[in-house]
Amino acid sequence: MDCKQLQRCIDDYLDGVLPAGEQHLAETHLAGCVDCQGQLNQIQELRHALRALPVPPPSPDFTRRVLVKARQQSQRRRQRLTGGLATALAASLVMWIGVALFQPGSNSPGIDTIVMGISDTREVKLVFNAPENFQQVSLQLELSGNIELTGFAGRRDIEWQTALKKGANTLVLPITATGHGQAEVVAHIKHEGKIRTFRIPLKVHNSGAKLQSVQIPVSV
Amino acid sequence: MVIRRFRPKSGDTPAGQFEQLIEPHLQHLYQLAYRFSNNQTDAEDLVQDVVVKLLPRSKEMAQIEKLRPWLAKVLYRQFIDRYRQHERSPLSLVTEGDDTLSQHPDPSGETPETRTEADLTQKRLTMALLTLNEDQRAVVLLHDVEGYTLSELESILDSPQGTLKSRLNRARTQLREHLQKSEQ
Repeated sequence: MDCKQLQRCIDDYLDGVLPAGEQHLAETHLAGCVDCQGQLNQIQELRHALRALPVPPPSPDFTRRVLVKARQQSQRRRQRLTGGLATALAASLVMWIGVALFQPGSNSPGIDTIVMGISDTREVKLVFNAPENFQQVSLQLELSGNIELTGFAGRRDIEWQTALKKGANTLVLPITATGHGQAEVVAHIKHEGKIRTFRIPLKVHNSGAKLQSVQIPVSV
Repeated sequence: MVIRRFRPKSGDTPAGQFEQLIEPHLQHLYQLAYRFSNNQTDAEDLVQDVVVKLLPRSKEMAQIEKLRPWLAKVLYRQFIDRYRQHERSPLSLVTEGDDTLSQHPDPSGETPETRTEADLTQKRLTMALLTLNEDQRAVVLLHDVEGYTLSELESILDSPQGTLKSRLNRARTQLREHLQKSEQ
């Protein structure tokens, strides 16, 4: 190893990360080269002085305070997100109602019409993507047209309480077509005075169709 | 009346898991933050920012084999973001008595005349470090002071080893020159 080669690996030598063979070559060179040994000493002295620079201890109870404050800030952030969500829900409601008011009979944006045949049953899955846990949510389904919710013959309006967990929550609606024409399932989600509405348009043909499943992802 | 039972997606990370991961590194992070900021309050704030930022990432952290260099990288990025924000800010908040070199009053009450040579060297070295540019200071503080290897610094500072070595050499030369001048 010559001086130039040693310059290139002097930090690895000091860090002790040189492979054994190169380490030996570096030591041999240093033992016989005053210049390189002098440079090594300079680096070591500087390192020693730098590492001796004092760091005052943090203020008392630093670790506990940092962790407690982090938890509090994280909770506040989540609350802000939830608050933001509520605002978004309200804004979204205006949009959805606006669509219903000013464009009567129009389909809900983003949800395609589901086509069925008479006497067919289709599973419509509503996937609610909740950003947070919601302890008490009211779900309401309204059915119009020639459809029925399987197992709830004759019921046009069904409401119940439930909880939404953070992430995907799937509601499976087995819908049976009883006659031809346009139909609609309207789902309302209510939480702390806020409401979000989804409209699922359906069209029933005279011809039959197979049992199919449709999945509709929505964000709460 | 529940038509079908909901299927919640699990995956919430307990805060306890995060604390177990981060707590052993907090003192080191503070030390590193102090090296960068040269100020106790700023260092504590910097660590606080990092911890808040990482709280939702405990699952990712649990998968990391060598957490310390990874945390050093996050801390350095946060420091740079703060530094640049401060640089861009038209106004800066100055705390009374917030002078980098007078942060730590000498508990012995010694005057400059009686201060030991070692203390003076530390003051000079601190001043010399402040003359380095941002990149040079980072590599000196992380490598020569905190002992990260160049291999670890490749990832922390996102620079190849060749660049880091030459940056380190230039920084050391500059430090030595500054020390020599200040001793005259």
